[in-house]
Amino acid sequence: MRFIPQRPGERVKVLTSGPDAVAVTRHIGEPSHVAFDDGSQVAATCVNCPTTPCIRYRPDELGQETGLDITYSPDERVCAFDAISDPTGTQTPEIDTVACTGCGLCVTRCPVGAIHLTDSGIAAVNTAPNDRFQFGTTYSADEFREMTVSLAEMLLAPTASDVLRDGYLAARLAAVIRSVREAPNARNTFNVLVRNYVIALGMPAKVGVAGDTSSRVDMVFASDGTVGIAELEPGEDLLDAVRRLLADTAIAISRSGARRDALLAVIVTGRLPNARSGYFELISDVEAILALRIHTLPVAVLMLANDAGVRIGPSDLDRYFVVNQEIKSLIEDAGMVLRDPSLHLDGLGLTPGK
Amino acid sequence: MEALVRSSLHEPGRFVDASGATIESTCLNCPGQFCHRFAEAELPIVATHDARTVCPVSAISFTSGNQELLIDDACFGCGLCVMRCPYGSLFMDDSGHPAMSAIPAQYFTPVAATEFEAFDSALDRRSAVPPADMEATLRGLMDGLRPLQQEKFYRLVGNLLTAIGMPTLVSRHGDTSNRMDAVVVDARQSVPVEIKSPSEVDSVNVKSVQQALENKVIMESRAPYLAEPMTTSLAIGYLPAADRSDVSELIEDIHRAFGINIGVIDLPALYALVWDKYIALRKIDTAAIRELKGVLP
Repeated sequence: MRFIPQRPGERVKVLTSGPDAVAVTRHIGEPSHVAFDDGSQVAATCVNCPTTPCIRYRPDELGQETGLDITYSPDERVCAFDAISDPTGTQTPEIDTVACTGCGLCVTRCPVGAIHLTDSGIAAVNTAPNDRFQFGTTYSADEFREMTVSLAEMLLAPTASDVLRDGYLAARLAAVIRSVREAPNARNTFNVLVRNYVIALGMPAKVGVAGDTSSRVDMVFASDGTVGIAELEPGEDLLDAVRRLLADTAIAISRSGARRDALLAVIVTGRLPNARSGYFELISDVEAILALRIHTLPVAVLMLANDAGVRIGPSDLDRYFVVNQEIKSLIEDAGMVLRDPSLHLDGLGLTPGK
Repeated sequence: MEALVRSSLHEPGRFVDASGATIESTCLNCPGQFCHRFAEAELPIVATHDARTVCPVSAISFTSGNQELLIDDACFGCGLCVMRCPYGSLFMDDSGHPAMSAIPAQYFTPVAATEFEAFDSALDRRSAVPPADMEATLRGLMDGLRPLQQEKFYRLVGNLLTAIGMPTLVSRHGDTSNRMDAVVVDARQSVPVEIKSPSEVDSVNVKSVQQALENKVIMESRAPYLAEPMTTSLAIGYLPAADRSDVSELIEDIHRAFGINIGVIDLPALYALVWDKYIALRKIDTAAIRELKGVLP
C-alpha cells in the first residue's frame, strides 16, 4: 500500500535504512535521544504523523461503555490549554510557549519522543530532519505505522531525579492550576486535563460537559471490570466534591445496579486539601459509615505518573494512589508538592520507565 | 368558663360559659408562660437560656402583672407566640405583629396555681377556624419571613421544630466547629438538620440533600448524639422545592444505595404541623417525622 498524501506537499519522515533503533530515551531540557545498535544516536524528531496524536485523540480512544447514563464531552483535544496546533497543515506541531503550562500530556502522546519538556518547564518539539530521520514519500502507511509503534515501544521515561529536580514539578503544577483558573471555562479545562491524564495512565475515560445538568458525574473511567466515578475539583471546595460524589455513587448503585465493591470513587483535586477543612475526617467518616472508600488523587500525582510513563489500572489506584493524611503530611513536609528529590517515585508506588 | 374557642389567628380566642356567654381572652398569667418559654419537659436536654425562648429573637415580654404586651422591633411576625398561647390571648394584628386584647384584667380572678391547673385541664378547647383561613393565615405569616437572614431563620426553624415536639439545638452562628446547622436531640433518635434560609436559596434542592447525607454520615461517625440507622436526616427550606422530582429521586437513590433516609420539609409544611398541634388541636406523629424519607407532603 502506498501512502497517499491527503493534501499537496503532505509528507512524513521515515527512518532511513541503517542500524536499527534500540532505545529512545527522554530527557528534561533536551530532545530525546534515539540510540542505534551500532552505538550511534540522533535526536528524536517529529515524523509528522498524519493523525497528529500529539494534538488530538482518535474517537475510539475516547469511547468506552460504562453503563452510566451521563452526557459526555466529545472534546478531542490533547491539550486543555490549546497550546499545541498544526498551523501550517503539514502535521508539524507548534507549541504556543505562552499558553503552554508544561502539563506534559503532548510529550507522552508523541510515539517517537519528539516532544520534550524544557528546563523552563514547558513543552518543545523538535521538527528538524537529521541523518536518520528524513522526509520521504515512497513508503507505505503500514510501514510508517510499524515504525512509530516500534519506536514507541522503546521509549524510556526521564529519570526520577530529572523529573523531581528541585521545584520543577511544583512550578509546572502551579502553571497548570493558574491556567485552569484563568481559562474562560475553568471547569471544562480542568475536566479535559484530568481526563487526558487518566487516559495517559491507560484507563479510558470520559468527562461530562461542565454546566450541563445531564452530565451528572464529572468523569467516569473504566478498566478491568471496574467502573470509576470521579468528581474533579480544581478549586478549594473539596467538601462539596465529596457530597457530589456521594450523590453520584448513590445514583450509580441505585439506578445502574453498580455494585458498591466494583465501584471506584475518586476525587481529583488541583491542590491537596487544606488541613482545617475537615476533608480527610469526612472521607474516613464516609468509609466507616457507608463502606465506601473515596480516593483522593491530586493532579500532582497524575502529572508525575504521566512523566514517568506509568500505566496503571484501578487496583493500582486503590493501592498506591490513595492520598490520606499520612501521605499528605509527607508531601507537605517536602514543601509544596514533591519538591524533594529524595522523595523518589517508588515511595509513591511509581516505577520510572515503561 | 367551660370552653375556649379559637376562630382566627387575627383575633383573640373567646371563653364560653355554660350559658353560652362569651368573653374575649386575655393573658391569664399562666404559670407555664408558654407564649415565650418552652417547658423543661419540651426541652429534655441541657439547654442554654436562648434555647428555652420561644421567640426566635426574644422580642416578646410583658409589663408587670402581664397588663401589657411588649413587642420589640426585632419581631418579624413569625406568629409562634400567638399559636403557643394555650388561652388564645394573643392574636396577630393588622401590622403582622402579636397583640393582646385590651379587656381589663379585673374580669379575671387571680387563683392559686393548683386551681389554675384544674381550670386548665377542665377547659374544653375547640378550634373553629375554617381550613381556607389556615392557608391564608400561614401564607401571610410566611411572606414576612422572606427577608430573614440566616441566623434568625435558623432559630425560627429550631423553635418551630421544638414547638411540635422535636426539641432542637441550633448551632451558634459562625461556629464552624459545629458542622450541622441544627440537631433534633433525642436519647435514641437524634436528627441532623440542614437549614436553607431564604437569603441563601429559595428552597431545598439537590445540594441540600447531599448536605443532609453528609450530616448523617458525620452524625453516625462522630457526633455525641445517638441515632438509629433509619433515623432520618432533615433538610428544611423556605419554599417547596422547584425541582421536586430531582430531589425525590436522589432521596430514593440514597435510600436504595446506602439505606439512609433523607427527609425534606418546607416551611409551609412545618408551619402546618405547628398549626395542627396548637390551633387545630391534633396530635402530631413525631415518630414518623423522625424516620421521614422524601418530601413531607
